[in-house]
Amino acid sequence: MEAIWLYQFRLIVIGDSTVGKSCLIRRFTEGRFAQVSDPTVGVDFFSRLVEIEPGKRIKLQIWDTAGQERFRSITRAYYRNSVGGLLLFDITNRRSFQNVHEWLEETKAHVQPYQIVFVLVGHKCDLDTQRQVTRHEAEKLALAYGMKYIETSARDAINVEKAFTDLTRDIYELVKRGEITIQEGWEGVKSGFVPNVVHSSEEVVKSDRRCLC
Amino acid sequence: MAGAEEALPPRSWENDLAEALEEGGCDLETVRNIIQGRPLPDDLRAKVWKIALNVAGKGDSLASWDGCLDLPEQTLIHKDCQELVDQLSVPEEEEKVLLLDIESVITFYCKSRNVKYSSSLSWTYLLKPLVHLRLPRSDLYNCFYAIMNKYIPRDCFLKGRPFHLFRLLLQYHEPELCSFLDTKKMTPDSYALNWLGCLFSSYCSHEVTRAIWDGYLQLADPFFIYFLMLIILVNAKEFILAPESDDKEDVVKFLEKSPASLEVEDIEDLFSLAQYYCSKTPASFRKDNHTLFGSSLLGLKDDDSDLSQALCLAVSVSEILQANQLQGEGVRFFVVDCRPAEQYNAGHLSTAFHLDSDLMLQNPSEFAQSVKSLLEAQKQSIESGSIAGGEHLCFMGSGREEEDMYMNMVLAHFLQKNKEYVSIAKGGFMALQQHLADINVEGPESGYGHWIASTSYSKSSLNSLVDGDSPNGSNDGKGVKSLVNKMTEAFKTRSVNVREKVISFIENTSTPVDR
Repeated sequence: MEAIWLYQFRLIVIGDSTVGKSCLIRRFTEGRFAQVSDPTVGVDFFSRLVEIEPGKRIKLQIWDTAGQERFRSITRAYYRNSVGGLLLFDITNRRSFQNVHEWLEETKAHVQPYQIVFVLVGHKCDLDTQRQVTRHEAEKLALAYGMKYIETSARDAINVEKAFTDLTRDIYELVKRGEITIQEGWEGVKSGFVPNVVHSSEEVVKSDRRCLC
Repeated sequence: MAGAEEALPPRSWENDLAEALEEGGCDLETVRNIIQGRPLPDDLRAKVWKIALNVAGKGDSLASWDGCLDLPEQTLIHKDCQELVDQLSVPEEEEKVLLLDIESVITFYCKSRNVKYSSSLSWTYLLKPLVHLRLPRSDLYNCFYAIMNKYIPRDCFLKGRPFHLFRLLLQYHEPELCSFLDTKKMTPDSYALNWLGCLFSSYCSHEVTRAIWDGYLQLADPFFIYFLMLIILVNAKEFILAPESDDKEDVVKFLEKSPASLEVEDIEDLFSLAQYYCSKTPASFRKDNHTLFGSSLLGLKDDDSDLSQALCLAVSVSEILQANQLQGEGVRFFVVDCRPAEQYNAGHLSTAFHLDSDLMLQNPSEFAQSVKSLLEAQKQSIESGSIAGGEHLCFMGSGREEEDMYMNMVLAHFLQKNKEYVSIAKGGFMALQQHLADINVEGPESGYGHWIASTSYSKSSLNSLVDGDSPNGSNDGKGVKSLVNKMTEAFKTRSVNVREKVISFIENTSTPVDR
């Protein structure tokens, strides 16, 4: 039986190869850290439920994309159907930080006519001694693009939950305020089942449910 | 040679060959039939190569040339040629002539083809086996020209197209090794640039190079070098995967030089292994990439799939259809249709197994179950010799990029699991429909009609409605069972209306489905 959720959000995780996208997602969805992992081929998929308020659960469908240039034309197709995204760089790899700008350009060009709510993630913050990007400059960059900034570590499980749930909350607020709406032919946000017990009247419109079982 | 079959003891195939070559005008086929893969006698090699390169009897291209060695990069050319000559043990009095010949060949080639010379082109390596043949200058040039033209792929440079193609071939046969090399960012161009650029002659000993060229030129199939390269790489697998070889530079260097360890005795095995891998490779590998070789500038379209971005090897729909009609040997496909159920039910390749990509998103455990039954169905169909069987998994999407993102996800899932023989149907179902429409127009008797099945009640014949065992072919035996009975009347009809019906069929099935 499918767990009961209010909405389903599709998120995408992007950034240069080897910044740790898959590890971050695995930590979040499976609660473990893989020492070695193969590069992602094209795209991979994960999901998890998060409870943003007692009784209010959001189902996250998370797309893990390959950072390698050669998969760019394949991963592009996934931007459009995502409502939110985590844009990762590796704090010990300056190059990956410099490329943040290009990633944003890349998504902007392919997300039309929709929008993605991004959070900038400085990953591998457990490796502080090898840091090549200061928190200050990352925050500045995030601000310039209207994103939040957070530093995470999949290895030490720092801020992993927070990165995903904060983003989910932000999107939830936008949905509640009607700034993001469910649209036919768009997979970014879908409404799910209303939990019987909770009377969360306002937002859930009769859940025009699409049976997913 | 007929009539020479008396088979007296001294009568050998070498004599037959010499005689055939002496007569002149014999073709490669004849020569191959006499040689039958045996080692070539040294004294006959030049003639055989010339026939294989199709330059026997060709005139002297340099005849009308003024012989001026005056290119801006002439000093460099001279130096490289001198180096080559120094490596050969040539009597001093011949050295000068030889040097001039080689330098002339390179210079004239640059001039006539308007190419700028650079040492990194490795031409002197490529010339070396030819120089050993002691050919007259005109033949040396013609042979060199023919090799450049026929066997050296276009864009044979770092990050060039030929190496992206090689990666796809490697992934097809050795996904684990490929993924490992990808992880370490060891791209094929980093180690195989000169394998391809001078047909192994820069690494292998003279004898080994000669033996490789003997076989390769006689096959007259430029793509065959891909399989030779593949074998050499696979042969080094153990070293590559060994935990102690973790320094990237070292591994790349080792790989690059690994052809050097080949011995003449290995060549026969090298070729038969390469033949084996070749026979396990879809024909589309060469057909769809034939523009890599040859001088024709026709058909050099950029819109043709960017190999560097390909998820895996692509197979043309015509090959899929043909392959399933083959008996016995050859590459056979197990087609996995990844379109949404509605589209699949509206019409699909009758032999296709349906794997709904949506399941992967919505219900991972059910998806895993489907994958399991897919592999089971594949196994069974191979064992039973069904026409749907095939160890090569070919994924088919709709052909519309937006929808195929789901198929790509499923495909990536299989690739990630290092499944071998995974390919994608080029252009998806749309291309299949187009192809069927095309052949039906030209000849309604072509017999491809039954290849499309429909499981939606509105489109299917009464028969398949009545045939209640597996109503939609989507539950039990899946694709395997459904092949025989599920034909649409639309496609069975052999009338002038076929085309119209095909078109209406396409229209009915091409509406993008909302998920």
